[in-house]
Amino acid sequence: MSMKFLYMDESKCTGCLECMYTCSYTFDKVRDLEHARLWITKVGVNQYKMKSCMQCEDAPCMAACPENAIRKVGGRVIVVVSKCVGHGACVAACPFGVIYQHAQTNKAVKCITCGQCVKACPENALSIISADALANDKRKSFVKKLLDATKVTY
Amino acid sequence: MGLQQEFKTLFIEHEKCNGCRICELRCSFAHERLFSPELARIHVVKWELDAIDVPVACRQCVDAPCMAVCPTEAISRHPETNAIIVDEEKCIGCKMCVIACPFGAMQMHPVTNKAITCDLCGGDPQCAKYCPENAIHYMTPSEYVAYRRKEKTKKLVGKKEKRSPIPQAS
Repeated sequence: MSMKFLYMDESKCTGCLECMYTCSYTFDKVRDLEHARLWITKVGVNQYKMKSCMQCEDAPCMAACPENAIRKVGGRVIVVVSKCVGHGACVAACPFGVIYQHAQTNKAVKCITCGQCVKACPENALSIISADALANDKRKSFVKKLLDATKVTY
Repeated sequence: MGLQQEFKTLFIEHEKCNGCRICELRCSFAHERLFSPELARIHVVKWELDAIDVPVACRQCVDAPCMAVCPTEAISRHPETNAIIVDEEKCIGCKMCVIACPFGAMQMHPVTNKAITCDLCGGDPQCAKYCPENAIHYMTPSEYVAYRRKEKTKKLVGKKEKRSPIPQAS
């Protein structure tokens, strides 16, 4: 099964952080940036980068977990809350730093591609997309650019 | 600054492509022993607006964004062909290379879900070999430039002859 992941079109993001607030509200019922499972970072004037779980195939967090609490279910990597004891091994293993321990429960939390941020985004910048579809989109935009630049007429 | 060694890459003349997708089939057969366009490393994009087909494959960038972004350093270069190769053992399938590639040439294998891209078939690209229209070339950049110059000159000379026919004495 192809793994779908959260992807942001960086040209559309305005940095309103509604996705982060919605994410926090969905899981913890508070609108607090500390509880979000995705992060928007400002990198320049009107330029924002999004960071969230990539739903890796051979997830390092899954391999690192001593309690076998992180599993792949239906094409997404999830934390089984009842099994997690808060070792923090997954936090150290993740190459992107997108899994962290909850401030109150000390258990690992991460994006599970629930799609609430996608619904909340006012600019439609976020999407939950498979790698094939993303590569296809990129190919098409590249071809458009190429044809505009070379202006081939028949 | 001394002269650097030039490596051969795939050059695609999309003007010549007729959209037969033999390149896709040959690519998938060479790598997976299956005739499936989904498993191919080269993709023909059908651009309906201009009724044109454009094959897209890895450009073998010098400062490859996929190589820079890979967290496990699974993407490296082939010592002989300088092609971008993915170490399947090291790849964790995080899809960062798919996001980073500006051409959409990086993709995930539908079965193993690991990154795959054009590896130039180890120096003998099957797509270039079997293209019936000779639209795909395996050349060094300077070779390709020389080839294009020749092609364009041919076209120019041909047009000139058509425009000014020699007046017939009667």
